[in-house]
Amino acid sequence: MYRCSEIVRLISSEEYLTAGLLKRLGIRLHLAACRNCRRYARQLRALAAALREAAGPVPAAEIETAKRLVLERLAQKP
Amino acid sequence: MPEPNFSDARFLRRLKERDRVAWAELADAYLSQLLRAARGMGFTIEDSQDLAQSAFAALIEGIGRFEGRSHIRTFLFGIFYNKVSEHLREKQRAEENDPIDEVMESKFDLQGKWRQPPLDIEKKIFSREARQMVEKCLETVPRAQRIAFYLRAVSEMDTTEICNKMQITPTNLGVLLFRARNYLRECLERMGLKRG
Repeated sequence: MYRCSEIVRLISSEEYLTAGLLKRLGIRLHLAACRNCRRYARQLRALAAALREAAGPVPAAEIETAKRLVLERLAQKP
Repeated sequence: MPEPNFSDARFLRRLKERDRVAWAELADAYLSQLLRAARGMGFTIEDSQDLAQSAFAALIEGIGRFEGRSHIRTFLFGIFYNKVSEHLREKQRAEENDPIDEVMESKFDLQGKWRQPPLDIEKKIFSREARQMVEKCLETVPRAQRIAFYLRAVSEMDTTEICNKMQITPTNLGVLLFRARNYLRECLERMGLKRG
């Protein structure tokens, strides 16, 4: 049976993705029995969602500058 | 706004002929995405601009060889991620020791059980001020960790591809992801404590 500390490592490093059947089963059994690790696992999923949200839109001025530079580059001799 | 059909052979020909309007359309479609990705990975505004520019410059140079077998967005982002990894080449391997490792060790007792249940951070994550909090916490995450986490969680690249791009081993990637996630989680937990 895995310890909580091992479960936390396996989940956050995504080592479980490449784990064999037995290891995966062990992780599942632990999660079924351990409220704390279930909560932790749920939080990590929420973190990924938060990361996707966090990067807000890029200011229009930055995009304009970038576009101008790209078009200048295009105008240079090939 | 529906994306123009960039896969169209005629459009590709216009790109190859360095048609300014076609390139402007392409820039409109993807520059903001490139800049956003670079910012999301923690690059400064200046570095993000440089990365987006060098990706586009490489595309302008390489478009003659592009045969349209993949989507041009895939091609462009492929170039972009290569630029990112060139930019980092030196520093991207996981350091042997990182303060977060000790923090994580201290969370468990000798039997490997949680000393304290993990605090509820979900309310924080989904609250109104969450974005600033998450951004602030992201700043505490070392660069390579942050990039690995971004590629995995936002770009949804598979782990093999990330290892190729970052030129690291799967074990190394595992360490980076472990640290990035736990840095971020710990930081949010601490902020939650402060605000009660």
